[in-house]
Amino acid sequence: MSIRPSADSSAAPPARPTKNDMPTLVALHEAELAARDLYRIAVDSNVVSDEDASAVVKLMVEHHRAYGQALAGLIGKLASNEADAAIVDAHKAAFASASQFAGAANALENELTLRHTGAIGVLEGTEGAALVASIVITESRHAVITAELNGATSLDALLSTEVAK
Amino acid sequence: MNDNNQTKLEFAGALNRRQLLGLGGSSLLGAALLAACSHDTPPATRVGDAGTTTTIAEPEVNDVVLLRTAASLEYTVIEAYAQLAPFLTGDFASAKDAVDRFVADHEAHANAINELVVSIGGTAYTKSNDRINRLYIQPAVEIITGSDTIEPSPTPAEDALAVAIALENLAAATYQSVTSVLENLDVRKAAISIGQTEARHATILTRTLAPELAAIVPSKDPTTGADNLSALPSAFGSLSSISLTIGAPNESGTKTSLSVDTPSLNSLITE
Repeated sequence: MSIRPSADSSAAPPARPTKNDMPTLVALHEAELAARDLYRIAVDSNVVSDEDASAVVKLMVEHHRAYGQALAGLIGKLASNEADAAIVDAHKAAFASASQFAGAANALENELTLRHTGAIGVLEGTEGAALVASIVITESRHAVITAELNGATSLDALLSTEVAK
Repeated sequence: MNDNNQTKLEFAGALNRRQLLGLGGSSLLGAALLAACSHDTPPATRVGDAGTTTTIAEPEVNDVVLLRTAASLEYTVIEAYAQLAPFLTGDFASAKDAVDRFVADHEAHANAINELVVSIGGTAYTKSNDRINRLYIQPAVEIITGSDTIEPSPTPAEDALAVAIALENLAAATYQSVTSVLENLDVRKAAISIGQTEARHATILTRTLAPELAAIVPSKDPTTGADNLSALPSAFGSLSSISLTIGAPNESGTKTSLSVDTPSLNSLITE
């Protein structure tokens, strides 16, 4: 949509990330790099044998890599380019396990969706909000796909936003 | 404006529309060139009297307007599902369960959005969006059902699902697009919370229509080069036009394509 706030709006939000936005964007950046690394672990561990499912996992690597890069572009020199170690540590065993991978991936995608949605409630700059919104939309699609890979068939399971496993 | 220019404009204004058309393009061009070459007057840039123009006041696009528009879209999708559900038969009969669930979700979304509208001082909007109905929904339904000039679709269930997918993607894209425009941060968060649910709806419907694992990742039709239906079509949520291809194929095997866009200024629901 090419809609913009009215020019006479008295409280037009800033476009570029503000100083207050930076810690939030840095945390999201590192979370995305953690997701990228976790899916790499899944690829390296051959957790899925089906060629088409493997292509999905590799696509997840690329998507999360793209999110990390886009967020780094927004935060500039503050980008650590390091994955959030806590997220990696919490999930890496499951991402290396054929039986646990899809469930862990689903929990991770829902966790990221929740984090990013929360971030949109605090980001002051519109460029950051726009980028994070575009990530949320696709990560929520990821959540449905990983639920399906985990064997979900019911609507409740496919639409579940559960994060804790 | 000097007297010479005033005279030229009065002369041009004295010609009616038919006379002006009868002069032909070369006459108009010649008049413009002659006027431009004149030494005693500034170059004329036109020979017709454009008259006065009335500028349409630009509507104020604020959080209330954006949310009311989102509410209208929710009602549009609810009404569209009522028209599409009867087509879901045969192999796609089970999709009616998803439709029932999604309609309930959209009703909840509409209520939540309208509560937000009221909370920030606006008036709730509880009707569908006329312009989106007219531009997208009604043409799509007519392409499926057929008319005096349109052959009915031989695959109405698949086409109904395709329309539903397009509408859910439209809803997701609309919330994504307004998220960065809304001024109230709490409202932004609420909007994207709803938008991500619409994206989940779209993904489930896409998997219903294209259930093969290979259909999750993006791919292209080797014959036409067109994008195949994909559950994960792009890394980032897209705000581009949504292509919808449905209906009976023509003699060359091509179906009708509709381009569906998120609400523009003409679709906004102002107060």
